[in-house]
Amino acid sequence: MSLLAAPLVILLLAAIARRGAWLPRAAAVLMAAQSILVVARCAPYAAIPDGAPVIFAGFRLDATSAFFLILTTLAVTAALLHAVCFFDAEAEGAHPPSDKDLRATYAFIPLFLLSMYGVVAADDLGYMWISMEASTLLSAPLVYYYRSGTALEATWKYLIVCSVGIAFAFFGTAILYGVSQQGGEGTLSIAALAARPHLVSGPLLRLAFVFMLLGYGTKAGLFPLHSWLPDAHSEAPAPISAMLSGALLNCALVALWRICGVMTAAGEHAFVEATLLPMGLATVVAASLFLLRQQDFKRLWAYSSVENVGVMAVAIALGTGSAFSQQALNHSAAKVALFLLAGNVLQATGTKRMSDLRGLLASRPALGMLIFLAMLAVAGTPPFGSFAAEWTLLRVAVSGGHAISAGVLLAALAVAFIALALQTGAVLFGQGAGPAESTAARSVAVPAVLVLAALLLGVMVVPACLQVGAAPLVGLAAGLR
Amino acid sequence: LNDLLALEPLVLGAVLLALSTIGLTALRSCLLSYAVQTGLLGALAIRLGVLRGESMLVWVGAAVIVLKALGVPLYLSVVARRIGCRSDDGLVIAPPLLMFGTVAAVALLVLTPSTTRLIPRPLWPSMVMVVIGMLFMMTRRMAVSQILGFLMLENGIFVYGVGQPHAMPIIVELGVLVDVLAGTMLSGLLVFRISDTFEHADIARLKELQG
Repeated sequence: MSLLAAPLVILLLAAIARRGAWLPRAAAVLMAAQSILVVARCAPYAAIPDGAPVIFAGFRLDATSAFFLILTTLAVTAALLHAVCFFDAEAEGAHPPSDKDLRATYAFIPLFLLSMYGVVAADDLGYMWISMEASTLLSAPLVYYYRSGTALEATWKYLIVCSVGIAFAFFGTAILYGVSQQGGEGTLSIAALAARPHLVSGPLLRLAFVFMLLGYGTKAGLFPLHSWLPDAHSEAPAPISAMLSGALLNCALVALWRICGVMTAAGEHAFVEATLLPMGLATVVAASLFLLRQQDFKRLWAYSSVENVGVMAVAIALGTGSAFSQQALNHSAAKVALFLLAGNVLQATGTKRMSDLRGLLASRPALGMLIFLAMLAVAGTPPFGSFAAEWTLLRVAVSGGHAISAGVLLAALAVAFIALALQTGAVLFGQGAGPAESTAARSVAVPAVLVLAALLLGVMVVPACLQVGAAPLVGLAAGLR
Repeated sequence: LNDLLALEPLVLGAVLLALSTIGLTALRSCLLSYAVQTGLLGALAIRLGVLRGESMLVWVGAAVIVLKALGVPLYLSVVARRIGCRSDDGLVIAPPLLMFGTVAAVALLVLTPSTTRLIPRPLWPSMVMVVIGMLFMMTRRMAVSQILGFLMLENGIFVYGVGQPHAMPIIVELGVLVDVLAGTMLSGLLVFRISDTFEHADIARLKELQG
């Protein structure tokens, strides 16, 4: 319950504030406090892999939910810390946000955060569904922040496509509830469904899974259900894009992880592998190819998120919680940094078209360098943490007899790396730079810390993960299994 | 054919209305048809609640009738009138033609012997309604029709949830209702914005973002 305090205070402030200008600062301070609180409260649960989950009123705290509560909070905190600079720069820009806009934004952000908490902490498939749909409804107004025609189009697609997708997930949930009644009292509790495997495996259970896969897969952006994602993630303002990519996608994947867990408990792991694995691989392959032909700097990173979602979906399909949680952690750190940096670029140059951005490294060295490092981190280059995550995943895939899948995944990851390197290279090193301009240190502070975190995760955690030792993170990883 | 006759008359009515909605082009008729379908489903929930002695189901049914069968169509008709949207002539295929196609497909489904049926028996009315909702969304141009298609799809899911021996937990059912209503409100507001910004509410013409 203590986790609700800071978001509710932000909501209250947004409701009573007359002037919106100080809201970003107040929210940043409150969220920093919230991060400390969430880490202190959840870290013990995240560290005990096989501890029994604490369940209260349909919500639970186990290793998975503790880990993702921390990750969601940190991603949102980073975005909101950066939002202080972002809204300062907006206020000096061509379209300064009105008090009403700021208040609305800061009213929806804490509610959106609470809906994400609801998804990862739900022990009840019904509550999980309600929170997931609420997260769409509460983030749609945030996507529409710029009030432009393209923002409107993106918001509409986001709202309609995700709502229809999620409706299918509810159909699946209803069917699952029906199936659970065949062997006794019906239940939607994930813990109960996993503990007493009275779910009669069969066509009806598989149908329920397929519907839930379609539903939560839409929200996660799995190919071919991803069409809304690049639009929404690229049209939203930078801090919101960062939250959508760095926090909300993880929540949808946690939902997939939970239902896969229920299916595995019912003895249907083979079916999960047969459906989610090809879908995850197709997502990685398709997103890698889409990366090659992007012309918009934010859409590029949106497609890179789709690619990473595919990698995480493969990890979920294979049942490797360690690869899933590592990839989520590393992707969130790097992608939040990238969307925040892309926001800086957009504010500094006024364009997202990559052909107009050439020579960024010469004109804005600090910004360019950070983008370069964050790109390496998100593409899974060795010193960074995502390399270890992808390596773990490939190893699990090969040892689990999925050599062909591992080959496809490796090839697609290579294509994605080349595409990202080419595209970012053209932006950073191309000709046509404007005069050199300095970058305010505080406007890149948050991305710099995130890139450093991604690097440290790689340098410190990689050795620990490669030689299975007693490191707490390995324990956590095992707990997710 | 026995399946069709064995069906709850309220469900049968809702399925037939959903089938006819596909063929309608006037937005008012579509909304009216949706209102009646939803009313029938609310009545179904009340009836089942009384039969089983579950008072909560009765309340859910009452809430569905008041909020979804009356409130939502009224709200959407206000939205449609304000943006001056009267009819939706459909996209790709003419609505009446699509209706005949769908009726034929459903007839084929109902007439196949249940042993070789693709869709499990208790599922077919809701499946039909869900597919109709999807078809409606895919073959219409107007933003209001998209919302309506989504609501029809959602009705199909409601039929299944209510038809189970034990209805979904009341909190879940109410949470879903709140989500659906909030979604309808929000998308209605967006329709206003779309019509203000683009001076039309034709979703098929919204395609600036691509690739």
